[in-house]
Amino acid sequence: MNFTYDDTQHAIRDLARRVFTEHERHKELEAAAQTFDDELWSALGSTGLLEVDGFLDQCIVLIEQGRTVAPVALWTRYATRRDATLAVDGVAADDRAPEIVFVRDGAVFVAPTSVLEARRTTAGAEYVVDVSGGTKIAMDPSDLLDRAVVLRCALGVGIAERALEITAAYVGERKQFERPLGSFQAVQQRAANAYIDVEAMRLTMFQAAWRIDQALDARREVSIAQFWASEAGQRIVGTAQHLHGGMGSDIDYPLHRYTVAMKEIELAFGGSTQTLARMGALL
Amino acid sequence: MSLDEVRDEARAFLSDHFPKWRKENNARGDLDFEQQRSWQRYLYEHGWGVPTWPIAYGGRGLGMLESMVWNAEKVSAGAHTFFNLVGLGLAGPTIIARGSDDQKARYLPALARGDEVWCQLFSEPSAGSDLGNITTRAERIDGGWVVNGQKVWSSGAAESDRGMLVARYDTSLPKQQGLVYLLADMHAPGVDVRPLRQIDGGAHFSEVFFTDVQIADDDLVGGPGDGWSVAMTTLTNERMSLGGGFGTFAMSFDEVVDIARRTGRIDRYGLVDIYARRTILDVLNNRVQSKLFAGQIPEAEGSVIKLLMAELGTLTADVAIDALGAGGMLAAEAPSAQQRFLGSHAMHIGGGTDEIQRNAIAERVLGLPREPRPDKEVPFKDQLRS
Ligand SMILES: Cc1cc2nc3c(=O)[nH]c(=O)nc-3n(C[C@H](O)[C@H](O)[C@H](O)COP(=O)(O)OP(=O)(O)OC[C@H]3O[C@@H](n4cnc5c(N)ncnc54)[C@H](O)[C@@H]3O)c2cc1C
Repeated sequence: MNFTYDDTQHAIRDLARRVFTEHERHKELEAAAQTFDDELWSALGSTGLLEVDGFLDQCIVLIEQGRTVAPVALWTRYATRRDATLAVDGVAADDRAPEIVFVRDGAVFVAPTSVLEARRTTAGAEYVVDVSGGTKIAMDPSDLLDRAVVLRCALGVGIAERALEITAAYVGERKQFERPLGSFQAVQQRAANAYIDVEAMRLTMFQAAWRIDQALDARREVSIAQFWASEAGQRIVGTAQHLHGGMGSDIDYPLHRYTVAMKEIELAFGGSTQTLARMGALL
Repeated sequence: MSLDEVRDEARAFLSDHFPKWRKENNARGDLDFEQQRSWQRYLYEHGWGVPTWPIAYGGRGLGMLESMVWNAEKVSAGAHTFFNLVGLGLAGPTIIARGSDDQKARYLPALARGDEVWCQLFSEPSAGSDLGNITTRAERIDGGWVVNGQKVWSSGAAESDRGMLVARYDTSLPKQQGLVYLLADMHAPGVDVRPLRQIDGGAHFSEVFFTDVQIADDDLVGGPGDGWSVAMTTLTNERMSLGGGFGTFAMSFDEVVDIARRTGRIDRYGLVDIYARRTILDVLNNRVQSKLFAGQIPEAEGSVIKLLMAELGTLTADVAIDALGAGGMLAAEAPSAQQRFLGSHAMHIGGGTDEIQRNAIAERVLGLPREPRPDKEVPFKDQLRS
């Protein structure tokens, strides 16, 4: 598999990049205490991006979303392949969609979002949901969860890629000791390691995505992608933050959103230690 | 005093006095700023306010290990706060080591009693790791100085009464030589503090602007030109108080084990790693202590301890959050772990970044050649031009 984009994929990437970039407005949303960007959501609808259905194409769109850490729960819609949100371990990313999908006792259930007690948590856009009710639907739970994991990994690739770009630009500009920070080898080597991590995340993600797309057994590849997204993802945003010095702690600067979003990617599926344990069981 | 004696005395004191103080002051739950201040005053009045300071200034002359024992006892009694860490851990020791008798008399008692809170006004937008690059100006006037410029990332500045200020008085000297170290009044006309919001949700640091702020000669520490070396005294103390305070900065080992037990996600390797690192830090602190007793200044150990401490903080927060699983994202369920995770990056930055500490170890301990620093001998004003 050669994971370079073909012409159609380039077109999807370009469109997605344009839509997400045009709607990058975190401060405005935060000031209004909005955790979901409605305008972006309708732009995704009107440009057809909500309806993208090839799995690889969906991953490409999510990389672009990750680049702007846009607050919409697109991945749950792609994973469930219906106008629904997905709850994992009783936690859902939003309660906008008319339905909520979840896995219980090895089967997939759906329920109208309204009947569930969705409770906003102080962390922001997470909802704790009661998943005891619902109607069973014919969907393979492991396929659903595999897709969800890989879509989140794709988000992570975009987050990581952009965080590193922002960082490279910053250390290229900022001078200390009469020279750009980026000219110190300690800085260069850390940044170069982060680049290797980003590419490893991208390749493991696309490897898993490709197998899912081809309806091949992807359990192992999904776990590997998830592990990289968890471990390498943390290293990358850690590096990005560190190379910014004090600026990395200032929430007037955009970087903190990448750090927090990346931690959520890791935690949504139980943390990297859990992932390793699951992977061990598969080998 | 032996460590056991310190522990016994501390424990007896805290178990007797802290509940009593809480009750008398109606202080329930986490202490707010004014309650912390009042607890500091109470400690001072009972001889425990500044245990590491010399006896002459109201302290007990406790060494580092002893003070760690004291801190640990305070933590387990729930009586530990970070009240005026900068003042008690940085400003006080700097004034004790480098201040005039008059400065000691004017500032130390108010500091120890909790009456006056201090901040550190070193960093500037263009002077972070390169602290010598300070551009805030201190111009000589009759009997004192007039200060103009901007500081940044000043922790606690919004609550502070005074600040340790490093400024440039002579641009014809090389960058590290033309500096003065002044004790600034944060309430003086012309001082403008603007809080910045931080990633862990707090607003602990600020930008501070100085416009024609007058500071008398009495508040100059050392002579003109001693600014850099006095600042280094402060930074050594900063590394010590950041490094040596590990029992209190990182989440406690028991706390992480508790979380792991509760959630059943037990990362044995991670827990053991935390335990081993804590033990190593203990031993290192011990070594620093013996050096101090022998009258030596433990500079490189300060860097080693600070680095290990930052790594421990990150590791501990990671293992704790990992053990919480998806619940780790929910602030309501994991306030402490989450905040420490978000704050853990700052430990690698504040007080001199990891890279700067490693450079110090490479140059001072291993004797590796210094990186060429063409700027070091050039008059500051020529450097500005280039
Ligand atoms: C939570 C917090 C509290 C703080 N409180 C205070 C305070 O109270 N008072 C105060 O004066 N300051 C304070 N600071 C500022 C702190 O001292 C500086 O942030 C720190 O010195 C780094 O400076 P900088 O932010 O400009 O980063 P920079 O110096 O711009 O560094 C950015 C990155 O480049 C790297 N780098 C820089 N130089 C080199 C080199 N020579 N070789 C290799 N890598 C290098 C750094 O390690 C870092 O990763 C605080 C900072 C934080 C995060």
